Amino acid sequence: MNSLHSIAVAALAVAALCPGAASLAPAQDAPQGDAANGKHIYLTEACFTCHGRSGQGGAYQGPAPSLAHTALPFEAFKEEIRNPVDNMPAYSDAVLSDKDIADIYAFVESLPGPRSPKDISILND
Amino acid sequence: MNFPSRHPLNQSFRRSLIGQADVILAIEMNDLWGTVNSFSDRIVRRSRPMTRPGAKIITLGVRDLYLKANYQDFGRWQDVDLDIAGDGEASLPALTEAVKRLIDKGRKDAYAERGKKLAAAHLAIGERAKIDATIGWDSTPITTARMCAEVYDQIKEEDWSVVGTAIGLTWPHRLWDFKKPRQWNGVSGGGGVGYNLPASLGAALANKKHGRFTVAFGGDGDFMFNPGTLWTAAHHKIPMLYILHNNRAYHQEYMYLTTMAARHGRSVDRMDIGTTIKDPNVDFATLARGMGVHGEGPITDPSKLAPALARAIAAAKSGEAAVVDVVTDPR
Repeated sequence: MNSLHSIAVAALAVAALCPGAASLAPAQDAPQGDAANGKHIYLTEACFTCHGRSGQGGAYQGPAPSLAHTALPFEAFKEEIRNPVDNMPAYSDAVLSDKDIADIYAFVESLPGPRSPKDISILND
Repeated sequence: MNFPSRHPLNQSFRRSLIGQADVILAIEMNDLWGTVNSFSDRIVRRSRPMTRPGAKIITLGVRDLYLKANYQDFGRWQDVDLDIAGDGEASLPALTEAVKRLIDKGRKDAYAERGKKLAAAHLAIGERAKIDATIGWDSTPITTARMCAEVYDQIKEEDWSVVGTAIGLTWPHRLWDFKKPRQWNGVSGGGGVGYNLPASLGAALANKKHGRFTVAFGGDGDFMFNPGTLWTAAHHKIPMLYILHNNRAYHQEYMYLTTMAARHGRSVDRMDIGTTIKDPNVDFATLARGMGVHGEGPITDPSKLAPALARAIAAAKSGEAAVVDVVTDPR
């Protein structure tokens, strides 16, 4: 697929995801996850291929959102994995169990997320 | 056609605006269909127009003049209301004046108000890009955001021209200050299959006589198709800084196979077979030197990137092609 086309398609996916993410409060009932196992799954089950090893986000057919220290509540996070809005593959229970997803969630929640760009001089050129 | 990346009316990362337009004027656009339609790449592929009902689409450009062969990349067909074959850059001043003549006081005020909103959105997107770029800043493999920021820091005072890019690499347009049309020559119709390195060298040859500093990004998978291009660069003494976005994979394929496996309910943990370029890792810097050009890398430590870039830039400014092998996160 043409890459310009891809960028455009992905913009939709991000637009669909982000407004909801911003308005939802963090879940109080997220299951206890194993961040170490979540990291292992994140790196072996190909999450990192689009979202980056640091959860910085990336691109597939379009932008793949940042997951580092995600603002998504667990249930929304799981729903996006089971029934994604656009080009992200849907991961069924046969591929990723609820426990796997909880572990991945614990891992991305543990990632440090962004810093202040003011602390990095070359980002202020 | 380029629009200055830091111009307040640049809304490149706000595609949803297309749905608000009454008239869309596409100037020298490569993939109009892909721009005004959304596309969902699922088991059943679907697409839908993003334009509002009744919106008029006008094209202005020279693509129609390039009809020349049985095999040519057009992308999908997009019906338009008015197709003008003409040079976009040459036509724009006259078009601008014609539009200005039609703007009365009321419209001028309305446009100014709308411009303020667009400028605010542009500013917010720029700030967001900087924040996003900090994630994983000191990580190994190096993030693509850091790779692009480090390159820009060292070339920004040159008369630079970006002539190649890896698939999905948007950081230059998110972070850099593009001001002139010649600073970006667009993307190819298909990426990852060997186009980028030789095409970049062709653009570097075109830039050479103007004394411009040519920089290109390219993936390692794409590079594997035509590495002999570097010998051509050495033989003809064509300067170019080539930044290898080395994610050690034919990565688009890696992601695509993962997607397909997940859709069919299969395990996705073996998608690296046949899609990754490891065991052994390729030593691209040695390969580059073997072809007679300057080679740096593999750079895995982000703190080592700036010095390597400085050496490569010095080589490129002396008239050589230079390759910097940056081991990066996938995208």
